[in-house]
Amino acid sequence: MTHGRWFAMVVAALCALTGDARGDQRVACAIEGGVLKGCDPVIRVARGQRVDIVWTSDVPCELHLHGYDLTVKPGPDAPVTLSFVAAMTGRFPMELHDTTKRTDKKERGSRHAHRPLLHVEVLPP
Amino acid sequence: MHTLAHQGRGLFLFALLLILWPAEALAHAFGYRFDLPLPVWLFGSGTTAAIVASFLVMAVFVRRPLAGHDFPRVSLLSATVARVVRPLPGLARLLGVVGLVATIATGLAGTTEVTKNLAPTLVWVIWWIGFAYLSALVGDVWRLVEPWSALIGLLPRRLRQRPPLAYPRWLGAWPSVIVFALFAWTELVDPGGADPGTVGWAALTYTLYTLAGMLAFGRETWLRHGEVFTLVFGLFARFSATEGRMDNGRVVALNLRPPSVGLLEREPVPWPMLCLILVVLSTVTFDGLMATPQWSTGLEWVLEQPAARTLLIAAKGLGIDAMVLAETLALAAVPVGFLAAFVGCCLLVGLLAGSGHGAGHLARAYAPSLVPIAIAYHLGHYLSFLALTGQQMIFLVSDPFGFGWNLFGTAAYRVNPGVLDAEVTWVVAVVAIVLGHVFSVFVAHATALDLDGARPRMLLGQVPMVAFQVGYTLLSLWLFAQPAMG
Repeated sequence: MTHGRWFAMVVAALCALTGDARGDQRVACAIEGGVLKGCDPVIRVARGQRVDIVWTSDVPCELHLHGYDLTVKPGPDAPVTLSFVAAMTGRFPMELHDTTKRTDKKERGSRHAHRPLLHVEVLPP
Repeated sequence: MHTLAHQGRGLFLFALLLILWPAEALAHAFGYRFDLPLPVWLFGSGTTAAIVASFLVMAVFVRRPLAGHDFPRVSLLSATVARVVRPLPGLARLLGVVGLVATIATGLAGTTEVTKNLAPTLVWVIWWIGFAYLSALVGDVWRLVEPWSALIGLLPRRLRQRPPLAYPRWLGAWPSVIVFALFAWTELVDPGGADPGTVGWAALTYTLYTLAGMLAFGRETWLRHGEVFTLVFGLFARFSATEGRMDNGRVVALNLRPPSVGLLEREPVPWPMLCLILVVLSTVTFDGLMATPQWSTGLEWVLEQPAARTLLIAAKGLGIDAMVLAETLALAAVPVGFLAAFVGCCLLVGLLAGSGHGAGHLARAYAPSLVPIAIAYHLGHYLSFLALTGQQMIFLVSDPFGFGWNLFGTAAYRVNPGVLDAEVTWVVAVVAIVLGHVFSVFVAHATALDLDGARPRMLLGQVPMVAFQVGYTLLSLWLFAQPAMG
């Protein structure tokens, strides 16, 4: 192999390594008709990684990540990114609040019956 | 004497109970994080350790059977300790009464936001979960804190001197079983179970009910049969390594003993206690079950059956929420199933050991031996919840009503959901389960010695019991290994 190719391989390997060391996780998810599409219902990351979840939604809505207590409001216009560093281990539900729909039945009580859209699992390294 | 009529009545009453389990609902109402599922290698190690430990305990019993109840006890009540301990009962009572009054006041008059009101956190986290931990790991602290005895003590002596009614013997602890079932339903299925209003009204109602019971039948009698939390926390405390005795508000005995020997009884527990034990066990263990994906799938399947649909349509017509009804009924089946399986196991035990006792008698004798596994699951399952949601007390003591006060300057504290790393909770869960299993096998063996020790096939009769306990332990480990569905 020529020196050039060796060099390219080394650089490529280094990029892969530093990619891991930088620890980025980028996932694209979509919501269509209130249902999760385009990604797994469980996103697994390692503690310390930076996580970017890019959301698109067909209707304006609100997403809340428990534990990290982060909210994003994706809509049909442009994708919205939820970014955070996974500093805490655990299993964190991400819930959908549909801001366009009124709750038609009386929702008594604090125990909201939403099923989470997905879970983010932050695992010990 | 338990005649057939007694047993029939008992079973009928029990079958009427709607008993439900925590559906991760509390964790959700407070909303921070769930534990990660146990990794496979930990699940495997835990299982192996539990099974190996069972055989080791059995081997010890073969070689050197331990005499029934003569376990060493060390008195802790030296002169210094007695001095230190003297003000504690009074302080504990004060704390109990203050806690009760605060719960009722904040629950009824404070904000309706769950996380900003003292009542839900104080009751569901600090008291219900916290006292379970204290009872199992320290001792029967609830006996000191329980506020209703103190409130009764405030009434003029004449009123409480001679209780007007004699407590009917046949009633036993059944009222407590029913009350605990209602309590568990509120904790688990009631959509408003964590609401401050619900908590406040429940505390007030229960206070009136308990005071009425104490006035009618006498304080001590009521504590033995009707005060459900004295019975439940007392059950957990029987596992603990301490025992104490009070006389006239003073501690007269305080001993250290090996854990779990408090669960050894000379007599089998009465039927209502057997049912209470199984309901408590079910409540604790199946909290996790309700959070598994398998449960949701199973429930969906049931709801699709034609019989179920008819029932639900009828319920909707009556204004009953379909999901609540479905969960109530689905969960009512669980402790019934548990009872059936346990009695079946005891039937086998009796047959194999050639025991002169019936399955019912054996079930009532062996039920306490299941408690250590339940305690272990409880400890592992709620540790994070206690550590996370418990932090809310830091700002709630400064602003208990949610009115914007700042009594102690801590109102701005924010819960840190990062406490207790996943590895810590995993290790605690598995170690607790394995230890709990060891103690359960030990208690069952000691019970067997008492019951059928003279019989040559006693150890053979232990095989179904150990198998049942291994099954219960495996179920607990499996629950730790499932992803919690929010």
